[in-house]
Amino acid sequence: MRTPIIDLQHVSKHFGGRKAVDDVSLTIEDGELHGLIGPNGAGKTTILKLITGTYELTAGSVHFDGKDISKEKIWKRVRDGISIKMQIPGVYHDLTLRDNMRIAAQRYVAPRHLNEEIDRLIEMVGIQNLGNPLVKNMPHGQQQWLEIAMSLASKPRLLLLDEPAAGMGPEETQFTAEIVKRINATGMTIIFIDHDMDFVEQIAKRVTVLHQGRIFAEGTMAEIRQNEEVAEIYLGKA
Amino acid sequence: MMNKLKKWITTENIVAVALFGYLFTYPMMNSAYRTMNMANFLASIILALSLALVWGYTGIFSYAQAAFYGIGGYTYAILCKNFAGPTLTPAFLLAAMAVGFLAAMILSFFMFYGGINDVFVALITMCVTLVLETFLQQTAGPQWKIGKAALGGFNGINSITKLTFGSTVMRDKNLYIFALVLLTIIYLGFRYMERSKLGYTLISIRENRERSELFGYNVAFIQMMIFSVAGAMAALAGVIYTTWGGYIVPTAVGMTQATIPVVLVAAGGKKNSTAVILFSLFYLTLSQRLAASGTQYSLIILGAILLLVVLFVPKGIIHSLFEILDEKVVNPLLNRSEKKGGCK
Repeated sequence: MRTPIIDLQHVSKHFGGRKAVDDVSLTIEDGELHGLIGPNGAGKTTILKLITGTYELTAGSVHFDGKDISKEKIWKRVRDGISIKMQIPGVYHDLTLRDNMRIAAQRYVAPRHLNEEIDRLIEMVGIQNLGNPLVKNMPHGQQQWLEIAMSLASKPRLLLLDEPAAGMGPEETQFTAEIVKRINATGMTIIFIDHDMDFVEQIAKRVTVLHQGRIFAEGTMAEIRQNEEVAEIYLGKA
Repeated sequence: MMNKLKKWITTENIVAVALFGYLFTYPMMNSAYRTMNMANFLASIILALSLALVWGYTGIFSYAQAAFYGIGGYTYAILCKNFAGPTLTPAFLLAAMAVGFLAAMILSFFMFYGGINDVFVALITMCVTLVLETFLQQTAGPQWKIGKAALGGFNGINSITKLTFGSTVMRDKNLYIFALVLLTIIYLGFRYMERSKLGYTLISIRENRERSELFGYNVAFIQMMIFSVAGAMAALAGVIYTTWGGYIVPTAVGMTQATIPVVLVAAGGKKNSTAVILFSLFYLTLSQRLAASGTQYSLIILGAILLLVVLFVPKGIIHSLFEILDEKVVNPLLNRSEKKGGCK
């Protein structure tokens, strides 16, 4: 058995009286490509934000690569090796594509290698043909891909993707799936959230279904598809 | 080589060369009185640039720059009163800047590590300025002394020794040149920073703090350090002002003094140091001309400018003019279809 890269133990996050995440324990192994699915309000994004430290835990602990990071600051977790592509692309609209990449990469590479590193990252994601447009002029899908490239700049071991294919057409979704698989093939662990079941099925090796802040089911996508209760609450089948 | 030169030619750079050319030749073309007067303007411009650093470049709206300006001036004055003679005045200048830096650091530590940002920083810094002004105004009694220096209430501290380097006293043309050299160093530092790693870090923080932290930037620390450096800059401006007039009074720390740089920076273009300098120079000259008919007029004009800018030119008047001239004149002349972006 491979070592767990991220280990959530009895994690809870309450907002006032609302339990966004309630006693969730989740272990993801190194190199996994793991999907988090569930209806809106299930707690998927909250779990990612608990891993990055954007939200403080109400209860429980988060271990990354065997180390308790529950109290660590966001920036420290990033430097430890956790990175995220946010649900709403966190790109800088008034800057060019390469300036965006520079912001993401300059901390992690010597100045003389910065341009090469930017080239490597945009090639890895497959957006080398876009040139260097102003980000505000780029379509939504391209902004999503750019943010994935930016998320890779810190050389993470764990990449969190919050709805990487949201708002995309079929071709763009397919391209995104290829990006995610290509990144995972380098050995990087990926946890992603998405609502598009075809997309999830195409890329996820394992899936966790969340419902009302708790884990509802876990398994391969085939197993999840056969789970009647999951179908009822989420997949829309009776 | 030609390409580099072509890239360098922008309205902002052309204006910057002309502006500093004008400033460096100013004493040769103007009387000692006007030159001395301009030295005071340069202090105000350094103060405005300290705000541009925190607000324009880093996205922290601060009302406390006047407080640090006053802290610098009062620190210098108190040290001068306690240690006679001009020999140590350069050390007092550095001490004043250090006190400004530390005061800003303490304040910003509690703000930024406490997770306070945006409008709450504006409110807290405004309160700091108000409290400091109110405190200084009530220091008229003999009990308000630091060593031999009486704080003097409304009258402040007077007859302060002028900054002196060796045998060169910083008065008239000397003070002007000293202030101008400092301004030039600060300006060049800003322009260099805009293209540096730090410049891009500040843009990142200014535009999206949460995302910056998720790229691994220690946002609270960077905000604190920038705020502290801006505090030291404002204190430097305070010392220039104090040595210029030979006095420091509570109104130098007051709300009017705090508001003027806000308008200068907003109206010029808060992300553009050249625009801030140019607009400050224009406004300060104009307001002094208007002072003959009553200072209220200049404040009314200042208020009107702020309203107009907020409503119609949020990027700032001068900065917007630079952009228009680049687009309509400079780029077509150079056959250049330049993409916008970068720090501004």
